Amino acid sequence: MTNATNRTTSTLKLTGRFDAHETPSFVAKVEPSLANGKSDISLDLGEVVFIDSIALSEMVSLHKKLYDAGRTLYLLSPSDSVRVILEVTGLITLFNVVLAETTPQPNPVESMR
Amino acid sequence: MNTSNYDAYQHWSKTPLTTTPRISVVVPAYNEALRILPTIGAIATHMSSRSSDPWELIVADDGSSDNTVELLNNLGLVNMRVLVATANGGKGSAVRRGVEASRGEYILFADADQSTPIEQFDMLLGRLIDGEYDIAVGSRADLSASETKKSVFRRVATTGLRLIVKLGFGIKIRDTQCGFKLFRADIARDLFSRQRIRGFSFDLELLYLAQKKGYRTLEIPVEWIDAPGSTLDVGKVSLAFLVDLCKIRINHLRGLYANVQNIGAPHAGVSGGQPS
Repeated sequence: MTNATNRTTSTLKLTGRFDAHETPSFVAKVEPSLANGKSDISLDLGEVVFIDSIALSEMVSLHKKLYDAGRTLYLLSPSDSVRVILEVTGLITLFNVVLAETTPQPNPVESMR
Repeated sequence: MNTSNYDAYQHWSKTPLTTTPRISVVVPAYNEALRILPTIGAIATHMSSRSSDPWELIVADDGSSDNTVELLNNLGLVNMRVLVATANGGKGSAVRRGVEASRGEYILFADADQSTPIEQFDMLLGRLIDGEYDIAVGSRADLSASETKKSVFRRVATTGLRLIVKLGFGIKIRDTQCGFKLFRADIARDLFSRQRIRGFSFDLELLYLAQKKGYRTLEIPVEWIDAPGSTLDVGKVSLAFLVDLCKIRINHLRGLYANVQNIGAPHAGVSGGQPS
């Protein structure tokens, strides 16, 4: 069992529409944190208005890569629409979702954007 | 962000309407298993947040061979109905069945890929609600519309077809094909009862009929984002569009649009939600 509070967390804040057009830049921004082999990754989804299936697929892929390496992907403060999308797709049970009212302060945070 | 929109969605998803819906949202779906759930989530969140207007969601399957219908039924949304078709009858056929099943005062037809964000609905409703217009058409043709990530080929084809529609048919609406249109329900029922085109060009026919009948139609610039994974082949669709233009002209000359007809589309049943 891992303890997220004892490791570094890279946080990526996403805004607007997160869809197939945005996934290439998303992958590029996440890659350094993925490659460092150490940190967990948090995606701040508080200002995302829509996530399409392609972007969800990319998030699942990222989750799996981190999980296989004993690391964790956190989804922080999803907006209401994103929260509903995660629910209707059934993915809310797969991800580690941290709702706004319970958002912990990652320690320390390596800001990616 | 507050949680009220989420709470409103939760209420809508679990509590059957006790009044007649004011808004009906009709989404046609053909083999949309990969894309439709996020769209349903976005629509349900936004429309539920508009607490002043009770609303219903109708997804008109068009004979999907994938598991679109199963995915939708598994959601268990009490105010969503899924109209199941046994065969692929065309997009126009699907929307028409949705309109026939709808109970709202206003009917929004929205594509399954969320190309036009559902938040644009409020703008369209605002123009109909004061009684000045009968139909509000989301448009990508206006200079102030936001059209993102559209391929060059698609832009060229679109421009050419718009020119033909304008010069050949005198239709004043510049973007007849945007999948985001709001109708007064009585107007929608009248137009769809005269509809002959069941495929992709059904919107063109509806707007042609609306103009002939003197219905007040307003074109409103909307945001539009090209959604990858579209099931449309732009070349084939453009050709079919030209053929349909000829059919509309012939139908008009033959006087077919004077006849109101019942819907004869393939329709196996309704699942989910409240009884229709």
